[in-house]
Amino acid sequence: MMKANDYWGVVIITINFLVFGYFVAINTTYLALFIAAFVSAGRYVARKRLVDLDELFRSPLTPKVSVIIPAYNEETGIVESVRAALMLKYPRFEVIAVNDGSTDSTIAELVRAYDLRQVTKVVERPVPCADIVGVYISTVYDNLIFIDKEHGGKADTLNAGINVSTGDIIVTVDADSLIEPDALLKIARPFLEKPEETVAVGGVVRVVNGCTVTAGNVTDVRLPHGFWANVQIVEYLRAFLGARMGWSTMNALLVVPGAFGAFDRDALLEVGGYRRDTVGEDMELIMRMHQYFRKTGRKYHIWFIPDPVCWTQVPVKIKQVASQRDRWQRGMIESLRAHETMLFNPVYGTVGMLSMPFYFFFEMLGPVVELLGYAVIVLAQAFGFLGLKFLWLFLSVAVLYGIIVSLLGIALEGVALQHFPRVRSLAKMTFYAVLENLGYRQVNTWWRTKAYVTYYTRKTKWGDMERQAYSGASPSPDKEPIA
Amino acid sequence: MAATLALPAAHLVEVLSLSIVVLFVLLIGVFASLLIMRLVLSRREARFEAIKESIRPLIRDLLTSEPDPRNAEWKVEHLVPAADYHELEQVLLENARMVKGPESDVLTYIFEKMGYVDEDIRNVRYGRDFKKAESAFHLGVMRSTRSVPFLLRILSEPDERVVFSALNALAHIGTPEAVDGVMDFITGERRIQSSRVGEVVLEQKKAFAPLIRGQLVEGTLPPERLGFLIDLSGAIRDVQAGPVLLGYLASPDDALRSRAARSLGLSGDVGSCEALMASLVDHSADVRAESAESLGQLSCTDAIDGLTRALSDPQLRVKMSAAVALTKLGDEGHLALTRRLAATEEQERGVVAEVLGAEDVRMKGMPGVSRA
Amino acid sequence: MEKILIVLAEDDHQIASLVRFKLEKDGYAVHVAENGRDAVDLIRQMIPDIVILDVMMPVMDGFDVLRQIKSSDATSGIPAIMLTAREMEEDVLKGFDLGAVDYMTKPFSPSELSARVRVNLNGKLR
Repeated sequence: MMKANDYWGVVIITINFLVFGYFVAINTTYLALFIAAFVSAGRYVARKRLVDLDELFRSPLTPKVSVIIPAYNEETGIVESVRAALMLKYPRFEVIAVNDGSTDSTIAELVRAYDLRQVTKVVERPVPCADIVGVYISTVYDNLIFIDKEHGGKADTLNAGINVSTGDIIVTVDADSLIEPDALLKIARPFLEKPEETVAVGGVVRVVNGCTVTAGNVTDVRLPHGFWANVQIVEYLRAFLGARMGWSTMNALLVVPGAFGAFDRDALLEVGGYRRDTVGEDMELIMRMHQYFRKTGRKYHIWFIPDPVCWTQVPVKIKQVASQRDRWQRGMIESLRAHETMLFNPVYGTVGMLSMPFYFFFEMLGPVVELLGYAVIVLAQAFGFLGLKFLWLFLSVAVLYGIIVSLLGIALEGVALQHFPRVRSLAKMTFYAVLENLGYRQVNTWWRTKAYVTYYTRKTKWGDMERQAYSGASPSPDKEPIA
Repeated sequence: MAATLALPAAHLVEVLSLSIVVLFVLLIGVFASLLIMRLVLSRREARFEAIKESIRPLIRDLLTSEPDPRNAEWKVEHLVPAADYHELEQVLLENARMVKGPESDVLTYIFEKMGYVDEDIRNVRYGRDFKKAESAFHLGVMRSTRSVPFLLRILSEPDERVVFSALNALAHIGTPEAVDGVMDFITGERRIQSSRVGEVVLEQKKAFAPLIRGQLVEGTLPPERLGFLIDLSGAIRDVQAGPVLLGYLASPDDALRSRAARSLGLSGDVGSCEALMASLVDHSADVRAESAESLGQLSCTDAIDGLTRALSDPQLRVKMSAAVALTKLGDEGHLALTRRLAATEEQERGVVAEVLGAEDVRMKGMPGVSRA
Repeated sequence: MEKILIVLAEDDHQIASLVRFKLEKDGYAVHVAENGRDAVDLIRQMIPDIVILDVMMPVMDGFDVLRQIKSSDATSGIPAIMLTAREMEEDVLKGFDLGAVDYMTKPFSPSELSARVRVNLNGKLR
C-alpha cells in the first residue's frame, strides 16, 4: 500500500525507481557483454585448433619481444620473477628488469643471482623517465638487461624500460605475477594475424591462490579456502574476463592489465608512453591510445584474449583488499577525468558512446548511486512509501540479477574456456557467486565511494602514494602460502 | 500530489515484477543448461581421450616397426574397431605432425586408404568455413598430394582462416603445383594480413627460393609486395639471391633499399660486400644501419674503414650497428673500434664503450656457471 | 650384455614417447626428462652413453643443458644430439659450437634418429 504524503514522499519514491533503473541497467549491460563474450570465446577456442603455437619458429620474420619487469622493493621475489621471464617459450625476446630506486636489496639479489656486470649504455629517451643510474648485463643470460633508475613511480619505470627496449612488441608484467610459459606465444598471435591494426593485447589474469605451483608453473588449478580469495575469483571472472572480452569485441576495451599487457612498440612511442602523474597508468594509457588513434582516423584494434597468460595472488586480508580497491578506483577516476572529452562523443565510436559512459556512470558514479539506493530503500520502507512488493523487486534486481550475472561469468569460464578441471570447483564458485553479490559487493561499494570522496579531498597528497608497493597485496608473509 | 503518484507506481511495480521473474527464469535456465552441457561434454571428452589412449600404442608400434605401408594399413584396419574411426584419425594426425620421411609415407598411405583424405576433401569442397579450414589443415598434415587441386581452389575464398589453412597445407605438401599456387597467391592481388604467410614459405625453402628470385628479377610487382619477397629471401637465407638483391640495393625506393641491405646480410653472399660498403653513405639512415649490420654478418674485412667512419654517423642506430659489426671483423676490427674510444663526439665514445663493455661481459660468461 | 643408456630431454609427451618407444625397440635403455633442469640432474646421476636434447624446453633450454654437461668432467665426454624445431642456422651452429655432435630437425624420422644414435655411438658399442 502506498501512502506517500508530501514532497519528500515523491522524492524518495522517484529516487527508488531511479536506483532500481540503475541496477537493471548495469546488470543488463553486463548481460549484453557476456553474450558478446560467449560468442567471442567460442570463436577463439575454435580457431585455436587450427593454429599450432609451436610453429612460431626462430625466423627473422618473428617479431622480437621485450619483456619489461618494473621492480620496487621486490627483494623477496625478483630473482624468481626474472627467472620465470627468462624461461618463457619464444624464439626471440629480451628481459628488461628495471629498478625504481628500491631501498631494499633488490639490486644485490639480482647481481648475485645473474652475475650482473655494469656496462655503459647510450640511452635515448623517446618517452620521459627519471635518470638512469646504471645499466647491467648478465654473463649468464645474454638476453637479460637490468636498469637501475632513480625513483619515479611505476609508470616512469615502465617508460625507462621502453626506452631501452629493442623489440617490436613490448610486454609489461608485474614483478609478482606468475607468467605461463606459453604466454608470449599466445599474446603474440594477434600481432601476427593482424599486424597492421593490433596496437595492444591484454590477457586474462587469473587468481593463483589455492593453486599448486611447481617450478614456476601452475600445475593444478584449485580453489582456495577462505572468503576473500574465492569471492575475488568470482569477481575476476565477471569483471575481468567476461566484461573485458565483451568490450574487446567492439574495440572498446578500456584497460589492459599492467600485470600482463602487450603493446606494439611503435604505437607506444607514438602516443608518448605512460603518463607518470597518475595512479592508474595502465588504464590511462589505453584510453589515450583510443583517443589518439580514433582522432587521427587510423585503423587499430585493442584485443583481449581469454587465454590465461598470467597468474597473480589476490590479497586476503581485508585491509589489503580495501587499499587495493581504493587505489584502483582512484586510478579509474583519474583516467576517466583526463579523457572526459571522449564521453558521448561520436568521434570516438564505441569507446565514446559505449564503454566510457559505462565506466563513468556504472563504475565511477555507480558506487555512490548504490549506496544512496540502499539508504533510500530503507527510508522508503521505514516510512511506508513503497510496499513490500517493491522491496522484493528492488532486492531482486540489486542482488539476484547480480548473482545471475556472476553465474554467467562462471558459465563462461566453465563451459567455453574450461580452465577449471573439476566440476566441484564450479559448484563452489556458484556458492561464492551468491556471496559476491550479497556482502562483498556492498563492502566494495563502500570502499569505492570512500575512494571517490578521498579523490576529491586528498588530491594534493599524491606524492604520498608514489612510495606504495606496485600491487595491492604486499609480499609474504601476509600472502596466503601457495602449495 | 503524492496520492496521484501511488496508482501508476503500483501498476509499474506489477509489470516490472512479472518481467523480472520471466527474465530470471530464462537466465537460470540458460545457466543450468550450460552447466549440463559442460558435464556432458567433459564426459564425452574423457571417453574420447580414453579411446585415443588405447589406440596410441598400436600406432606407435606400427611407426617404429612396420616399414611397409600396406601391412601397416592392414593392421590398423583390422585392429582398431570401426566405431573408433574419428579417434583413430586424431591419433594418426598427432603422429603425422611429429614425423617425416618413411614413417610419414606410411601414415599418408593409411590416411588415403582409410578414407580420411576423401572426407577432408569433401569438407574442403562443400563444408562450412570452419570445417573447410580444419580439413584443409588436416590435408596438409596428411601430406595428401591428391588434394592439391582442391586446396588451390579455396585460395580464392573470402574467409581468411580458410585461405591461411590452405596456404599452410599447400606449403606442407610441397609439390611443384602447390608451391606455384602459394607463390601465385603471395604475389597476387589479395593479401591476407597475417605475417605468418611468410612462415608458410619457410616450410619449403628450396622449392620457393627460385620462384622468389624469379619474381624479384622480373620486378613487376607493386613495391610493397616486392619488399615482402625481399624479406622472405633473407629469411630463407638464399645465397643465390645475392645478385638480384644487389639490384634492389640501388632502387629509388628507400624501404626496398633497406630491406635489400638487410636480406643481403642474411643471404650470406660475400660478393655483396663492396656494394654494401657503398651504401654506408646512403641518405637513408635505415639503409646505412642495415648495411652496417650486414657487413658484420658477412665478415667483410674490407669494410673496416668505412664502418669506422660510420661510427660518427648522426644517427644513433647507425653508430650502434657499425660498432657491433666491427666486433665481428676480427682483431683488426676490434683495434679500429678501440681507437675510437678517444673520439671527440660524446655519443660516439659512448657507443664504442657500450659495445666493447658488453662484449667484455659476454666473454666473462663461462659455460656451466651455476645459476640460482 | 648391458644395454646402452640414453637420456632424452623433451617436454612434448607425444614426441618423447615415440622416441623412447623406437629406441627401446632398437635395444637401448631410455630415460626421459621433461625439462632442462631435470635433464641435467638425470644426466649427472646416470652418466648415459649418449643424450638427445630438445632445444625449446621450459625451465632450461637444450643449449643450457649442453653447456652444463660439457662443463663437468664426469659428463663432458657424452655425445649430444640436438633436436631443433627448424633448421635455423643459428641453432645448428650454436649447437656445434657448444659441442654437440649432431642435430635433427622436427618433424623427424624415428628410424633416422636411431641411425644417428648408432653412428654417434661408434666408439662406445660394447
